Amino acid sequence: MKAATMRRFLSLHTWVGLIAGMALFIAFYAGAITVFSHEIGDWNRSATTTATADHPIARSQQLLDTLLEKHPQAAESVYLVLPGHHGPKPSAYWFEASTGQSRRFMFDQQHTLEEDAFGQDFIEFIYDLHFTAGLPKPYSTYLFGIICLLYGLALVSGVVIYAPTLVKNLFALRLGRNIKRLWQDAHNAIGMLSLPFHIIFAWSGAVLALGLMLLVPFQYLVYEGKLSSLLEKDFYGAPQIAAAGVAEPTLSVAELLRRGQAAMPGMDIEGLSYVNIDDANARVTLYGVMQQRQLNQMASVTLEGATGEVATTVAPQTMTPGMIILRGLQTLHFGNFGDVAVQWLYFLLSLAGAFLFYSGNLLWIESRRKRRQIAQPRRTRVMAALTLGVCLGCVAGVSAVFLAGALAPGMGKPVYFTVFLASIVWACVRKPARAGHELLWLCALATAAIPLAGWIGSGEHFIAAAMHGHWHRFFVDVVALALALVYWRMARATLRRGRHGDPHSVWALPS
Amino acid sequence: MWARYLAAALLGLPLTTAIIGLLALGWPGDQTVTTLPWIMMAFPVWVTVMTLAFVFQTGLRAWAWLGGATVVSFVLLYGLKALDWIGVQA
Repeated sequence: MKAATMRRFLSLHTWVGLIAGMALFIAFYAGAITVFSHEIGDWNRSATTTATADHPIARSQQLLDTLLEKHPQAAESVYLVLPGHHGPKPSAYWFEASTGQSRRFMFDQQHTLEEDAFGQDFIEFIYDLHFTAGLPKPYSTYLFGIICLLYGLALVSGVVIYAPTLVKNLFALRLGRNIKRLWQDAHNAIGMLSLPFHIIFAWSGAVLALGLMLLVPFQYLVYEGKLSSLLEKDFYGAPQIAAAGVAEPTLSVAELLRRGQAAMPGMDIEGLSYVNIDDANARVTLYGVMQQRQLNQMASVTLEGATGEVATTVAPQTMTPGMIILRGLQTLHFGNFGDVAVQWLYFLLSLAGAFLFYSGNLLWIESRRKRRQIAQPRRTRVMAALTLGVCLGCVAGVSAVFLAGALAPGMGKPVYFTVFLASIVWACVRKPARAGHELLWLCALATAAIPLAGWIGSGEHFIAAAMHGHWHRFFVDVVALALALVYWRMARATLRRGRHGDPHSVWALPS
Repeated sequence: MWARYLAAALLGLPLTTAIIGLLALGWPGDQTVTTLPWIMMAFPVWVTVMTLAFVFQTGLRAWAWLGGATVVSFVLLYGLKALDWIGVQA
């Protein structure tokens, strides 16, 4: 390849990396934790409140009836989540057509209906952080879709500039005096060895965040406005029907579940999606999982709401090709396959991915280092401050969300933004080496406090959790301690480098 | 480099739409089955097209090739549709 082409791809890699890198760091760090969102969900509560309530189906019916009584308009579209895999209480999502928003309703402790906005606290907030960085939806989600495209460009250009020396360098990790060489080797090794994982995430992330928006140009430029009718079979299994305007009661939850189970034995039903409740043309789709030795295990049964007749069934083995690709990408993204082993693998690969973006920024700064003068260019100081503030602010902020989850429920979001923004300000006013050292200490302390906060919040420390067989709590606390140790070592290394390393650098601390 | 970034940003999506549109409408079989798989391929194609902007020797050539390809693809798409060689089955 020509040297000029190589330089252009290096420039492309640098700039898309810098623009997308910090958002991707947040996505990957929060994403690593989101892998275990179901397991972490009950970490901050004592064990008694997490047990599934008695009569789960009757409770779900009650929730649906109460919601329709309070908000008759909700009959247009409700997704009712049964207690079980998704938490101990049923929840109902009303998709409000007039606003295009999904609103969630649950029962509070006194069994009165309450609206509970999604993504405000603890693990749900970290889940939202993963694809919004905590900014308002839906625009932040589209932004992350665009970030995914830039991520795709960074992957292609990274492979192009690295390919010529691939064989020689793939397993090289040159420990020696040249620290930049070591960081470059680590960046390349992680990038290349986890490349399949990154390709899947760039693609599936773009599909999840931007997929619906991408239909728009096709709808108008190619399909003459008829795209939705071509995709009906994929998305709904059967053509959609409009409300008849004639009242006819929809069958009960228990009856719908009985009929759905009969239509598809072996399906583990997780939720019911209602359209036009108590109308003659009401439709109810039951979603669940079915073990069929396929990548995705999603199954559904669509019933006529009034008569209970089966309109259509979809099993993993009978899906349309489009749905196999779409659900397959979703399954690969969420790690809903291969059970615990894949969850841990995804957790480690996500942390490695976060390191990839962090190290990329550090390499940019290192490449622009002035080797013969103490004063460093302004742009490298600014980039160092931003990288430290955003990345370490995210790490400390996420740990603080755990602390808030156990000690101050409901405060997750404000606590995160306080820590995150304060870290950025701190990184901007301090020298990079000082800020790095201090922010890493903050990360270490906040993360090390997680087991303590969990003990206060739930009344059970992690050794007791292990003895009682509460393995989720045990592993959250142990992983927190391990990460705290890593951040502490990094803090010490930053200080050591500042004092004893090459003084011609933003990372130097002149004594 | 600015010309290339602009070419990638402005021509990437239109060219992708036209290429995928041609392939999806020209592909034999029931379009209720084949449409979604083709649209899912739009993201990899989009990234590839944007990468191409950095392959050509000058920014002007990048604009000429990608712009030309966009025009040709849309002319083909609407031309073949007008001739009824390809079309939307709905």
